[in-house]
Amino acid sequence: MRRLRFLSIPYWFWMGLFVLIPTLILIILAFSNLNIYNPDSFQFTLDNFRIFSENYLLKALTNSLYLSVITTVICFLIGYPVAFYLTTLSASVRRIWLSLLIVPLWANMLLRIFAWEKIFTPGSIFSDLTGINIDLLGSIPGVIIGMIGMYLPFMIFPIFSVLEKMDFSLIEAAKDLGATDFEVFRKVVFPLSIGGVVSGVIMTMLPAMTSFVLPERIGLAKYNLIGNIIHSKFMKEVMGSGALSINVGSLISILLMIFSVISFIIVTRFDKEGETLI
Amino acid sequence: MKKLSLVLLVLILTLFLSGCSGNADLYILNWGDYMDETLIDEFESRYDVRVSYKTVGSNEEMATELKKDNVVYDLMFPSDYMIDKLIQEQLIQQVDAQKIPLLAELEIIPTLAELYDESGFTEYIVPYAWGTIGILYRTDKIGLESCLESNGWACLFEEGDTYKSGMYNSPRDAVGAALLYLGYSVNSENQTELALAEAALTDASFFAWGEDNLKGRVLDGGLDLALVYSGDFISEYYTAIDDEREINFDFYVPEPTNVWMDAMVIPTIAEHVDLAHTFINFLLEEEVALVNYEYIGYAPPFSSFYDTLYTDIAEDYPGIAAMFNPYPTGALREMFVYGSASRSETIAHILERAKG
Repeated sequence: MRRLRFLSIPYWFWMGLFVLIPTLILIILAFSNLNIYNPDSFQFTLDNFRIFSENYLLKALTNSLYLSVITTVICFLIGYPVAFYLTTLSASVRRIWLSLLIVPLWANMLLRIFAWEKIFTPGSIFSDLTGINIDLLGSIPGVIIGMIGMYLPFMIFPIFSVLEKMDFSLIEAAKDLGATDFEVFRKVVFPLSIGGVVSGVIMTMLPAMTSFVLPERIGLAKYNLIGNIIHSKFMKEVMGSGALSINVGSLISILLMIFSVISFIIVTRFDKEGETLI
Repeated sequence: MKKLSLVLLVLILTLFLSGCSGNADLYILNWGDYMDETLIDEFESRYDVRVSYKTVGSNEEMATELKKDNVVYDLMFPSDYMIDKLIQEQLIQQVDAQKIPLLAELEIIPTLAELYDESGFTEYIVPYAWGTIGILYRTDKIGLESCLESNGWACLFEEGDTYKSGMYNSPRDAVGAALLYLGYSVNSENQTELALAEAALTDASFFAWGEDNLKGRVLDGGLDLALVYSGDFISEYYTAIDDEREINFDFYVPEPTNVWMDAMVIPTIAEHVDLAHTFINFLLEEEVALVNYEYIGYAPPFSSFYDTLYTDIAEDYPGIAAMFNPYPTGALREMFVYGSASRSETIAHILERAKG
């Protein structure tokens, strides 16, 4: 096997070029006044932290947390029973259900967002065909339903993958010993699936929290999320501030990266073999 | 073995990455759908050159492209305030009128020339197209048309509870519109006026903040009125006529309003300056220009092309002929200028706070 190790060089090269180096640049930008478009002399500074005193950033952080927590809770309430139901099916029926969950994920995410946009527009082709008028563009329920539609599979798959490996005779044993259905769930099934639940929660919450196209198109940009602020710092405000808005954007991005790393550590605590990480 | 494969890989990647820039004879950066691209083919075959044509979505992206150094563009089409900024930063060079013989034969519409002459653009640009911002609204919404006609901007800013309104999610347009509504200059640097503009944006309770999706929302009834560019209305009007749809929307140009202009500029670092001039001259040939302006739908800045197109439109689409003129006699128009980095930052923050 050692002889084949050189085959992994492209991977390391790729990761270094497109993950490691950009991350280092991001860190330097966040803590300095380096102008990325005119790299000249620069100083390390904490000036960029002043963004955290801006109300609109705090509002965006609250919006992100609020929307992603609600989305995650609803995804869990829908996703857990679905995952459990999938484990009770015969292999062939299960394959059909799984493919119904997976195939939509193969479609580009932007296209799926535009599809939700059409569904929520009265008088669109969707309402012409079905006769149902749903007017949810620019509303919180619209954004949440859109997010659930986007991220529900990321809740179902990790939970399913742990439940699938569970020994079902444990349930029978618990019942034999007199446990009620609820006790079986609370004391046997749920504790055994906790690794999948933690992965599912994080894999739903992180992308929901950082999405920016969805709140822009479905929320009609009325509810800024943290992703929208970063987008604006990198793409829209660049010319005004002599590109220094990019440094502020980098700082916010790093904050999110720290959050992701912490989440990853939590997942590995609960799921030591990493079986729930797709 | 290991070293060899690494060297090979680096070589392949270098080739791959540098391959992106290719080797065309002329590099053009434009907006999407903003030039009849068959004309580029014609230019290529006539002069036996290869043109690389790329499009972006915003002035900010255009400037970002200019600052990256992997591709050096020879010709681009920024808007007024960005031209101002590019001149300030010495990123574009003066245009050599000697190399564009057709320019001397054409008259730039005087009202337009006057607008940008004040800003000191004249030596740096050849204007490409111009228009205004205004309000796209539904004609089947009871009372809306008369509200606009009697109240103008106030109808967009004060009737948020009665009508569903949409605002452009860009500092320049949103803050500019708010300043116009309050009766101030779009280029105001007065802190009190800017604070009032922020309050006006906050209190307007817009139903939507958007970009190119706003016009679609008005057409499908999700919005009753929205701030859009004049060209958005004209292109939607053509589409509706072509599809034989009922026209239940119209465009209202409030007074005063902001007039914008996009122009052809040559970056300081351009490597094919002569060919860039030749291309500009090519676009000014009457036959080419008429095909092009008919395609893009915006008003040409040159009197002769404008008059020809206006006559055609007045005949074929009488409903929009009045809107085609960005600057009718007696109207109040103001052009947006860049000002300074601090002003630009100020208005960006005003928008963030007003939305939050």
